[in-house]
Amino acid sequence: MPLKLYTHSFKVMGGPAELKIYFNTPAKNRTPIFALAEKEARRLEQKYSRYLEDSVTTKINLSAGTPEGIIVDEETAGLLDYAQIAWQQSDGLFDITSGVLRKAWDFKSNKLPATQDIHKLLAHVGWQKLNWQNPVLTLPEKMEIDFGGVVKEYAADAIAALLRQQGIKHGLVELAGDISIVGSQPDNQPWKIGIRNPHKPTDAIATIDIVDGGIASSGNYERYMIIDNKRYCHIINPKTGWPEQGVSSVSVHASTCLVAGTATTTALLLGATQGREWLQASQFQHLLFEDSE
Amino acid sequence: MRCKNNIKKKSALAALTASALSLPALQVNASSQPVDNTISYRYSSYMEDDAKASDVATGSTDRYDIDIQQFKIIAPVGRNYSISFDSIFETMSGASPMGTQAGSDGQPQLVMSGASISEDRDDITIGVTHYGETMATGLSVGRSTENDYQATYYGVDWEWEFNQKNSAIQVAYSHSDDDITPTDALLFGRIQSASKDTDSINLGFSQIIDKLSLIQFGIGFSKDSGYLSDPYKINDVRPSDRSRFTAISRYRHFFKNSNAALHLDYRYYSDDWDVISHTLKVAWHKNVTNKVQLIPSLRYYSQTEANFYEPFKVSGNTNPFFSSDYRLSPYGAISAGLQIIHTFNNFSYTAKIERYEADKSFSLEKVAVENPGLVSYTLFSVGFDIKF
Repeated sequence: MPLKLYTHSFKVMGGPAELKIYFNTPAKNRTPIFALAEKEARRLEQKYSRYLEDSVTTKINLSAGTPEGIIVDEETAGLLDYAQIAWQQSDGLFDITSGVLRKAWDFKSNKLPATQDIHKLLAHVGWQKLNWQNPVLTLPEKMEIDFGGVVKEYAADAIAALLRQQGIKHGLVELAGDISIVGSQPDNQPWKIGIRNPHKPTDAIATIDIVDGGIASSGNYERYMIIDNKRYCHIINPKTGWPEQGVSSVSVHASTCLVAGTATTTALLLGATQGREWLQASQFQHLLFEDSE
Repeated sequence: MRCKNNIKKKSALAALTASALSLPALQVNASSQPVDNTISYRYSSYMEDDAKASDVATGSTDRYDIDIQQFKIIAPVGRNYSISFDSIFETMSGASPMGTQAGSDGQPQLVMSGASISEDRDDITIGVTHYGETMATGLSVGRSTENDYQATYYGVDWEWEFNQKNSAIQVAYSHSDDDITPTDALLFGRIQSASKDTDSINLGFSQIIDKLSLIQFGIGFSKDSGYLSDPYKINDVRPSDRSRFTAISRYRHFFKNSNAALHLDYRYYSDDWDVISHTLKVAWHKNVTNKVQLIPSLRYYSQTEANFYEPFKVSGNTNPFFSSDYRLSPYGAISAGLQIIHTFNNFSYTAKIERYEADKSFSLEKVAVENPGLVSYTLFSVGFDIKF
C-alpha cells in the first residue's frame, strides 16, 4: 500500500487536538496507533489537571506549607527540572508558580484587579521561594504550581515520541496550536505550518516550513479583555503581576514544542523589542507581530 | 556587556533543549538511529599484581601492565544509517607465565618469561547500521594487529522490534580468522606459524516489562578450530576444536524512590573441554544529582577446569593434551568497582576503579591445588563523551 495521510481529531485539555499520520498499513493497524496517541494525551491531561482532585498538580498544591514537602514521580521531576531551567534561562519570566495570579485576574469580568490584591498574591509567586531537590518538592504555604504553561507542549512532544516509537516516520501532532512533528512529510517535503493572523485569528498570515521539532504560538488574542483601549492578555508577568503589552503574537520553531512554548511565553513577557532581541540572540526561528493597537 | 548577554542567551536554546530531551517520555529508544555525532575516548590502566616470589621458579615476578586507549565515533548518515569507527591501542609490558613445574613441596611453581616483554596491539573496527521501520541491520569488519598476531573479523547483526517496540529479537553472526607467528620460534622450538577460525552465533530476546523494568535473555554458540594451544607456554597441547555455549540473562529495574537502577546480570558458560563457569554481576546505577551518577558494582565468577588441565606436567600422564594455563584451571574470582559519570549538556566524563582478585577459595567447587598463575589486578579508567 502506498503512504497516505490519515487524520484523527479529538478534544483534550480544553481544546481541539489533531493527529496527521502517513500510513501504508490497513485500518486495523492504524486505529490502535491513533488510540494510543489519544490515550497519552488523556493520561497527561488527567495527571496534570488543576481541576481533578487526584491529579499530581492537586496533590503537589495540597502539600504547600508542609515541611517535608512531597516526593514526585520521575516524569513530574523531569518537568520540574525543566521548569527550573526555563525560569533561569528566562531571567525569572517563565515561572510555573505564577498561576495564583489568576485569582486576581478574571478576564470575563472586564474589570482590572485591585493593585493591593495583586501585591498580596505576588508574595506567593516566585520559583526562588520553593525548594526543589529532585525528587522532593517543598512548597511554602499558599504557593501553587501550575503545569498549564508546559503540559500541552510536553504532551505534543510525548505523543510525537510515542508515534516515533511505533515506527511512524511522517506525522504531525497538534494540540490547540501547539505542534510537534515526526519527520518530514514523505519525499523529504516539509510540513507547512500556517501562522495565524493575530488580528484575524481564523486566517493564516504566513507559513513556516519545518522538517523537525515543534512549533508553539502565543498571542494576546487567545484570552483577553480590553479596558480603556488597552488589551490585557492572559499571560501575566510573574514579577509585576500584570500582563505585558507590545506583542500581538509570536510563533517559535525549536527542537521540541516544549522549548518553543517556553520561548513564546518569554518573548511575549519581554515585549516586542526586547522579545525580538532575545529570540534572535537565542537563535530561535521565530515570527513576532507587534501590537498595532 | 552586550556580547556577554548574547552568550548567555545563546545557551538558553541549548539549555532548554537539553533539559526537554531528558524528559522520560521524549527519550529516543535504543535501536533508533542516533541523532547526534558522538565521540568517546577512554584511557585505562590495567595493572596485574606481581607474582609472589615464592610461587616463581624462574624468570621475572613482574606481571603484565597494560595501557589501553580507546577512541570511538558514531555518526548518523542520511536518514536511516549510522556509521561507527572504533579503535583500540594497547601497550603491554611485563612478564607472563610460560608454564609450571613442581616445587620441592609438591606445589606447582611458575616458570615466568624473562623480564619485560613489551608489545603493542592495534585494533580497528568499522561498522554501518541501517535503521528500517522495525528492523536494524548492522555490518562490521575489523582487524587486530600485534607483532606476532593478526586477526580479521567480520560480523552481521539484526535487531527486530515488535509488540509496539516492547519486545525485540537480536540475531548476530560473526567470523574471525586469526594467524599467529610466534617470536623466537626457532630458538624455543615453538610452532612457526599457525591459524585458527572462530564462528559465533548469538540469539537474544529483550522484553520491556513495564515503564521501570526490562529483561533480556540470550544464548550463543561458538566454534573454534585450528591451533588453539598457547605457543608461549611450555608443553601446551590443546585439542584443535572447541565448541562453546553461553546463556545470559540481564534484568534492569529502576527504583523511583531511590532514583537508582539495579542491573543484575548472570552468565552461564560451558564448552566441550569441560570448562563450566558462572558469572553473577550486580550494579547499582545511582543518580546522586541529575548530573552525577555513581555506579558501585560487584562481580562473582567461578569456573571448573578443562579436562586436560594439570597444575604441572607429571610423568606417566597418557592424555595427549596438556595445559597448565591458569585460565583453564579451577578457580573463583571476585571483583568490585566504582564508577562516576558526570554529565554536562552534551559532554560527560567518567572515571572508574576496579579491583579483581582470583583465588581457589572463591571457587564454587573445592579446588585441591591452586594454579600459582592466577591473576589479581587493579583497573583504573578515565574518559569522556561528546555529542554534537
